[in-house]
Amino acid sequence: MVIQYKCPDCGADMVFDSKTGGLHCNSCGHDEKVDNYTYKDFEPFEEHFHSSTFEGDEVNQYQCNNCGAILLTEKDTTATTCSFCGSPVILGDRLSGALAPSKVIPFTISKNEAEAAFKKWCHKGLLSPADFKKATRIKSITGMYVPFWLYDLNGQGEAIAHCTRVHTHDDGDYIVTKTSHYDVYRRVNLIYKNIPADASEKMPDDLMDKLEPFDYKNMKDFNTPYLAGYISEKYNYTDKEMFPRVKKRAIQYMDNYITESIHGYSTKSIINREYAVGQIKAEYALFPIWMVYYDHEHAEYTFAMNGQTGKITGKPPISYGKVTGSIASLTFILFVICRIVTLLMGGPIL
Amino acid sequence: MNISNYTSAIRQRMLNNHIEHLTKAFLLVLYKILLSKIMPLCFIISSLFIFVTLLPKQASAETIIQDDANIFSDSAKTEYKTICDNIYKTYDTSIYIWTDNNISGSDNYSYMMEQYVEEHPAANNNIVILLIGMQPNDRIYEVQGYGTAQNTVNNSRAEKLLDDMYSDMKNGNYDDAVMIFCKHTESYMKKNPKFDSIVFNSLLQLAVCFIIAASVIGCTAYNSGGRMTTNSHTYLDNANSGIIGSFDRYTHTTTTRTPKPRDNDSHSGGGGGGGGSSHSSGGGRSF
Repeated sequence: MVIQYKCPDCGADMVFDSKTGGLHCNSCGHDEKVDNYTYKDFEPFEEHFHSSTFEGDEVNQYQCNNCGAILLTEKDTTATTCSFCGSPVILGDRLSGALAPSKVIPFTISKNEAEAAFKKWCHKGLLSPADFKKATRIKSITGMYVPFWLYDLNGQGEAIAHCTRVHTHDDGDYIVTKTSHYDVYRRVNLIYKNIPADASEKMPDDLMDKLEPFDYKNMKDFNTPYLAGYISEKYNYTDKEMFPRVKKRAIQYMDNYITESIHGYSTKSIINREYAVGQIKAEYALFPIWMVYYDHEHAEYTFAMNGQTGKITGKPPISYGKVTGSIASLTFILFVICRIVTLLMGGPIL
Repeated sequence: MNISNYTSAIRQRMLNNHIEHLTKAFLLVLYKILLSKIMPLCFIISSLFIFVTLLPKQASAETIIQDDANIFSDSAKTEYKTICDNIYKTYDTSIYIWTDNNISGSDNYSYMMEQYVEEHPAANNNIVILLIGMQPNDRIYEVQGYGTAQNTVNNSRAEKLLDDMYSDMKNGNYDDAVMIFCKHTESYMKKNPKFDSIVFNSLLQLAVCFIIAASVIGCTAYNSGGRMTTNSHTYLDNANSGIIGSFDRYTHTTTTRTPKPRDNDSHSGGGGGGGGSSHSSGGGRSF
C-alpha cells in the first residue's frame, strides 16, 4: 500500500513541513493539518490518495502513483521518495499491525536549518583540518525517522555499603585520626519512563545514544503524514530483543541513584548490590534525525543531528598538526603563567 | 729714529725679560710645592679613602680557612679562598672552614662551632661554618648557618650539603668535598630557599603544564564527536520513585596516632643553654 499526499487545491505532492507541523504544498503553498487525517483506517483516504499494493514472492513490490515506476526500496524502508519522479511515498503496510508505531516526534528543524547548523558546528571544531571547517563538501543531508523503542521500566534493588567518617585532631606532637565505620543499606523502587533505544540495525548505537535527550513534550501519536518527504525505516529488533541493552542502562542509573542517596560520609564503597529490572511497557516511536554525509580526503564521515533539538554527534576528522600545535601553545601559555607567578613571589625566572 | 726712542725700546725689552724671569720663578716654586706638598697630600687622601672604604671588611674576619688537621692541599685552599671571598663580597656572608684533629663525633661539636663563631665574629654575623673533626675512628663533619645564612643555608640545604659531600668525604677526597661545599654554598646564596620546593622547579612545571595541556586537548579531541548529556535523572519518574528502606548503622571506631611531620626549615638548632646563639644546621655526619 503506497500512500502519497496530494494537494487538494493543485494536486501536487505535499510534504511534512517542520515549521507549521502540518502538510505543505510546495507548488501552491496550501497547508493541511495532520489532525485532518486519521491513521488507523486507510479506507477514507481512498478519495484523496491513490494507493496500491503489489504482492510479489514474499517481497512487496511498490509502484509510484505519480509516474508508475517501480519503487526501489530496501526491506526496512517505510517512507522514501520515488527515485524517478522525486515524489514522496509512504509504504502503509510496513507501518501497520505489529509494525505500527505508536508515537512520533516530528521534525522541527528544516533541511536548510540543519545544513546551516552543521556548517556552524564544523566551523567551531578547534581540532579539525582547515578545509573540513569550511564545510564545503557536504555530500548529502537526509531527513530520517529512526525507529526507537521507548521503555517504561521498574527497577528494584538493594545495596549494602561500607562507609566511614574521618575526624582528625592534634594531640601534642601527634595527629590523632578517628575513623568511624558504618554499615549502610538502601532499598529502592524506581520508575523510569521512556528510556529510548534505537531499534535500527544500520544506526550506530553510540551515535544515537549521544543524540539524546529528545523533548517528549512534543511527541505525537503516530500518523503517516509526518513521514511525507522523509526517509523512514521500520524496526529491525523487537522490544524483547532490545531489552538487555536498556536493562544495562537502567542498572547503571539505579547504581548512581543509590550512590547519590548515601551522603555525609568521608568514604563510601558498595560491597554488595542486587538489582532487578522489569519492563512495564515498550512503545514503538519514530524519532527525527538528520543524517549528514560528508566527504573529506577520500573518506566519508557520517554525522547525525537531532531533528528536534539540533544536537550533533559524529566523529569529525582530527588534524594531528592542530592537536600538536594546540598542546604546544597551551603548554607554553600555562608554563609562562607558572613562571610569572613564581617571579611575582620573588623567585627566579627559570 | 732718535735716541730717546731707542732707550725706551731697550727699557721695554728689559722689562719684558724681567717679567719672563719672574714668571719662570713662580712656575718653578709652584712646581716644587706641587711636587713636595700637594702630591703627597693627594696620595695620602686617596690612600686614606681606599683604606676607609676597605676598613670595615679588613677589620673583621672575611673568610677563615683554618686547616688544623692539615687535610687540604695549598692549591685547594687558594681556590676556596677565592670562592669564599667572592661570596663575602657579593652576598655579605663569611665562610669559615675549620678542620681539627682533636674533634670527634662524640664531642659536642655543635657547641664547639658556636664557640668558634663567637670567637671569630664577622661584620654582619652572617656566617656559614663547616667543621671537619678528624679524630680517627670517629670523624665528623657538620655545617651551620648564622645570621642571614640561617635562611640561605637552612637546615634542609645544610643537610643536602652534607649529603652531597658524603661520598668524597668517605673516600678521603677532602679537597673535592670542600669544593662542593663552597660551590653549593655560593649557589644557595643566589636563590631564596623558599624556591627550593619542587613546585617551583621549571622542568617539573613544564612537565605538569604539558600533562594538563595534553589532557585538555585530548579530552577535547575525544569529545569532538559529542557527549552523552543524559544522566540517571533524565528518565526517572520522581513522583513514583524513591528509597523504600534504609539504615545507616554505626559499627565501630578506629583510632590512629601519627607523629606530626617536623618542619625542617623553621627548626632552630643550637641548644647551648640560655645564651646559645640561633643557627641552622645539617645535623652532622659521621664518615
